[in-house]
Amino acid sequence: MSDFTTDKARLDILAYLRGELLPADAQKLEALAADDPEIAADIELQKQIMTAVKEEANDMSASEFGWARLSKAMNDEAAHDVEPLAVSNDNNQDMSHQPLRFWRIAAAALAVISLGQAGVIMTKSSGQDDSARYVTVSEDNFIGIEVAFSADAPQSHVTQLLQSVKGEIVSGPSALGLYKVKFTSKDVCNLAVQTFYAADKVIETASNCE
Amino acid sequence: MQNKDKDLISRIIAGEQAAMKQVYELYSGPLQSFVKTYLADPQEAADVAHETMLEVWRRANRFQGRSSLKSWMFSIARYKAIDKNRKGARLSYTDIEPEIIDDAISPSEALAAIQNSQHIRNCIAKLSEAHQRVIHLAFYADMSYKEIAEIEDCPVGTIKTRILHAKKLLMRQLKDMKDT
Repeated sequence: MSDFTTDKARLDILAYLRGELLPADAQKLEALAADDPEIAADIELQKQIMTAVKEEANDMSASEFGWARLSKAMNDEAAHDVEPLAVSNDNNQDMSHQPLRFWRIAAAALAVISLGQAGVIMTKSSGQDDSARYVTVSEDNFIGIEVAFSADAPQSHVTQLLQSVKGEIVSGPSALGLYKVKFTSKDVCNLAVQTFYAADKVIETASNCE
Repeated sequence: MQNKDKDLISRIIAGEQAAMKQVYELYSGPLQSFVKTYLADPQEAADVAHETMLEVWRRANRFQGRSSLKSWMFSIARYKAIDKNRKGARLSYTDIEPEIIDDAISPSEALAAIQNSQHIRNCIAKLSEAHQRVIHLAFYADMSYKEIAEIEDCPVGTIKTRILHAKKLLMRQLKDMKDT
């Protein structure tokens, strides 16, 4: 254990803030901080840096949409039975999966039309494996639409768009890449549809309000 | 390999999406924050973080446990970010560390200069990318010096020095940005 009087020893302050120091070492640091205002200031400074960095990253924290996007990509891979490429220590290969874009657009459009004609919607039900599964339910329970986001749309644009229309993804993506977006009222939903139609770089297809 | 990592990896290899979701919830934020130090565009950073997670899902059976799951994942992200940025994979120590570090600002002076969290973040943004990265890895991703060294592909001593330098440069920025 250092005496915290040198620069390098002060690196241990970070370990202290993370709760990684042994109790005896932590007590020693606290005693030193009580006697030396500069050590106390250093502890407080590093604590504030930690808080500031974590606050900044709040908007990057795990989101439902981010997980849905990842989950969809994982399911796509399983569906296409993609073989992992041979890898050693080289992490530099871009192995991103390229979906069959035309097929997705056509299938999503067809699904949206079919849903409208049938007057039913799909809703999420908890699965044992934490993945979404779907059952047909009455439209009385839901005010919202089904959308497919453009494959090229960045996550931040999707999130921003959803926030602007006060929509919330409640399930998805389905096998056809459709997300179900819920709204608080029919009026809000109708406005959102207009916004979605205008956002053609983010939205691939959108149904009418159910 | 830590037991927690071992358990998560085994479940991911078995195709359990719930395990992958756990990894996503634990690390997607810190990962994205880290990638952002390479890529100025937050959308690109989000995409690289997504691709990294997908890579973990694909390659879980290649994880040998020589490092922690976290540092393995961040290493993948680093290569992907560098690849995206076309910056070149290696930066030398001398490219990053200034020869003379300003020692004139004391912790209490720096602390007194802090206006708010945004002020700190603005000052961090003025640092070099390498210094921003070690701050994010150490102060947000809660990584040990050894883990950071694995990700940055340099000795542990270099990382310790880099963190000290980053902190001192940040202290100088805090003081200067208050005065201006």
